[in-house]
Amino acid sequence: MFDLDFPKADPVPRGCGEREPGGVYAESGLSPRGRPLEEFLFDPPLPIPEGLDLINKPQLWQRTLASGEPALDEEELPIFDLLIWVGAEHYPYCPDYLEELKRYGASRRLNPNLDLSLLSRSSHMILAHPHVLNMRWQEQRPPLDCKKAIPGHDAALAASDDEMEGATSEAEEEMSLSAFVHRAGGNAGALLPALPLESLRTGPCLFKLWELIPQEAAQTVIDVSEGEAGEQHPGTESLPLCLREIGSTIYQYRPTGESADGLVAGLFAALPITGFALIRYHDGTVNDQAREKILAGLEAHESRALPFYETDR
Amino acid sequence: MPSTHAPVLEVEDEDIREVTPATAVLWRRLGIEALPEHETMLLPTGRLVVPDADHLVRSAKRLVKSIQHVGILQNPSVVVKAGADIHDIDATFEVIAGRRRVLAACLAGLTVIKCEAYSASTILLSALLALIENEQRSAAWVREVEALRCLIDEGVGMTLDDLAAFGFDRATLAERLKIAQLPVPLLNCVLKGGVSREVARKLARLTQTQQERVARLADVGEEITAERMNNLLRAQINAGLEPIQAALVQGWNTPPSHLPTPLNSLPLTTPGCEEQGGQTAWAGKESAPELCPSASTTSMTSLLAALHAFAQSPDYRTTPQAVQMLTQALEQQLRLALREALSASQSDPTVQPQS
Repeated sequence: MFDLDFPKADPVPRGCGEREPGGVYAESGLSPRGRPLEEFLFDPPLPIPEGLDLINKPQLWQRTLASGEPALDEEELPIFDLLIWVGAEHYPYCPDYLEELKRYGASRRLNPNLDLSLLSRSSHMILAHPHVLNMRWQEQRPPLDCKKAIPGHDAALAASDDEMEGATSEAEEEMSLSAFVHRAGGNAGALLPALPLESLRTGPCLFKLWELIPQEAAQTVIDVSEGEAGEQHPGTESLPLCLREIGSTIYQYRPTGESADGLVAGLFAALPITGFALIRYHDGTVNDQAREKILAGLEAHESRALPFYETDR
Repeated sequence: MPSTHAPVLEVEDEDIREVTPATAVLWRRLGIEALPEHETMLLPTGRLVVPDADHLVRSAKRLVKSIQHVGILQNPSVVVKAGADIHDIDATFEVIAGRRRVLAACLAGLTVIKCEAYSASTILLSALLALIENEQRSAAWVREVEALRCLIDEGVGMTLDDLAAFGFDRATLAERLKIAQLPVPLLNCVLKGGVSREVARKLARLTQTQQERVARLADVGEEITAERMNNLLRAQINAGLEPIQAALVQGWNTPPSHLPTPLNSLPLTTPGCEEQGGQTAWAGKESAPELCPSASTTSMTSLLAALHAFAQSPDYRTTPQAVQMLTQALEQQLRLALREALSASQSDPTVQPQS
């Protein structure tokens, strides 16, 4: 049928709790031969299209081409993706989910009434969070580091700005811009000469979200005295090192104290689906309805079908 | 002396015998001329039996707040279960319509409930009452929309929170509110029963421009069908998802040039994705290639081992919680870094993928 040795999500307790007997979960497992997580993140996050009713309702969405025609996979079958809401009741901050994802992969519970047979290896889970799109980015400092190195997103830009404040000659200005071009890579090069400096910031950055988590959200705060603080925003005081625990994940962040009020709902990732996990009931059976649909998918998609496994947790 | 009676809220007088045209149709279908004789009575909750109560408790809980605020607005129907007749003081009654209301009233602390009491019931009567209730309920959403529109027009300044305090389901309320804010021609269509609830919900999800477009169509007599709404809504959402869909259609064949090197990254994969990426094909059978540990991975492994040993030692349990948490955080970070480093080694072009 298929090899069971495919990337799976770790069955650890998560921010949303433990997997429940009878549940069916779409997984995005980690693999040593995979691609960097950052490639699957939208930076900046995208607004949720108007009319898309997504809150707590995972749903299938048929992928279309720009022409409006359905997108087809190699088997000439239409491709369906999963649209999934990551709720703030379990993950108050989007980094809570992203840090968990980095460590253990993704595991999202599905409604077994969904037609899971439509999902194939071409399918992705497109994730949304209620507080991910920063509408106040222009009033805030750029993040220390944009992990996708999107031009105009991170503190490399702030450094350029700071240098620019004192720049009096054309030569100095040219040097600052060069530094930015070097940091941003070739893509920005063509744009830079035509843009005034205030336009260098190109939009809200997903990686700013870590800095917007308030210090009060940390379980442990470690005061870092000056000189030990490591990387800092240019011209800012030492930021406390905060540790936050969510599910099995403990991660660190450094709050800048800036307001997170401007965060609104958005789409932040499209993860490949590596397979399904069917969690056994206490009597050893699984959700038959879901299993049948997945088996129907195996038949329909053949080599592009998504594998599944049955497990106790 | 203060009254020991449990709170019984005023019930709106509503004559259940009043027959609406829709109810009359139901009656005709069931071959019934009129409802059997019954009396409106105040009955102690202890004498009411709710069939299948276990399954209804959860949904009944949603009604508790509104019953506490305004009471039961429609009397439940009951029939004598045990006893000589409805006036027998020992008689018990089975609830045949309004089971959730009765359960919610009990949960709200009411000890007596005004009911429509029937001396005898038949399967037909129970079915009829259930149908009447459902028929009334199915039209209720339109009345809710009308009421909300009235609140909006009167500018009373009530918020969703205010209304949710009455026990309304917030999501349902938000949806009704959107429907109540539809352009006037469409709202009229809804209030006249010209569109189904499903279509109204979809109309409410359209952008204002789209709604105005549909309103113009409705004005010239075009039918607002479910299919038409589906297509419009789908096109609207697809337009919003276009950047994502385009990226997914393109796949990850060519990672953007500004991406960091894999050394700085985390492996996350799918078979399909790996094929798209063209770096390594997933077969699940090949063994991981032999890795030559670099100096950095060796030191990370040593550090990880040291942290792990510390976490297992008796000293660990006596260290402050902050230190324990920091240790765990470091362990997780190191595992990530190690995995990334190994992944980078495996991504080496000399690793030959199997197809």
